[in-house]
Amino acid sequence: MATDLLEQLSRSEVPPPPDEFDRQFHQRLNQSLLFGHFVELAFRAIPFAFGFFARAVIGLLVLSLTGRFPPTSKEAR
Amino acid sequence: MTSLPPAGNQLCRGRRAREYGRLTQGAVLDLSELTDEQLAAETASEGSDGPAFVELLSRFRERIWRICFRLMQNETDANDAAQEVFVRLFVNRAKFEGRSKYSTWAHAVAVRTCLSIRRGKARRRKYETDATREFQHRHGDAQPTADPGLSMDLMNMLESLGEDDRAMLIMKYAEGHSYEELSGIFDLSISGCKMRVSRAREKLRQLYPNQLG
Repeated sequence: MATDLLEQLSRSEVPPPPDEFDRQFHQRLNQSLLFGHFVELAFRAIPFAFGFFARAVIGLLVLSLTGRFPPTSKEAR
Repeated sequence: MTSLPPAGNQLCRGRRAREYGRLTQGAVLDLSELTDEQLAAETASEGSDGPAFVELLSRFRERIWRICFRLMQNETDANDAAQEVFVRLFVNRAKFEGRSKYSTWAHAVAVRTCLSIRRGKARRRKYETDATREFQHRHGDAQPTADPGLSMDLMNMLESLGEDDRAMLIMKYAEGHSYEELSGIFDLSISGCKMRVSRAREKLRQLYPNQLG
């Protein structure tokens, strides 16, 4: 019967995990976390910082040219 | 157990307080006594792979490795897959909602990871095989035809099934999971799991009537 043969699967030998498994895993985890942080820095943090400081520079220019502070988002509402 | 210092204790500041905190934390949180689910909740609140995740890693290392080895069929791929499984368990640690046992969730991640790695490899192999076949066709090389009934062992027979069916048979018969556990792992109903196992066995019987008839 197929079931009997399939039950032999549980008797098939599985070698133990390699001794270096934990170290390799932590290396891989560190790499993947580093990559994640890099992506976050490149696509979120740096654009946010650029936007934040660009607003300040634009505000400075507006102040220099018109003599008025540009309205903040709260005032605009 | 270490007793707590009185409120406003001047000693509980700075380095000494941190040392005291570690001591009391160690005394209160004996990780080996926590269940998998409690550890998972603790892991979700940890910023990095702290003691709770290390404890989970040590509890599940053998089980995940066994699943990966059985599904991947060789040590190199199993090692790669098992590491990927633990990376996913860590990265998605906050997504465990406790609706099933942690072991079921971890095994489901292991199966999905192995299947996606195997599918990727199969796609690459198919592309390479097609290129080789075309080369042999152009150069008139004869393709040796394997006799499926003679030298194939059981694992090779399982290779002739679809990836999901193969994984389900392995989890059922090699790992000894119940249909309830299989339904959690494969995200199917219990009757759906029973049907899939039955169909996979029937398909095997049709493919290898001499061995399984």
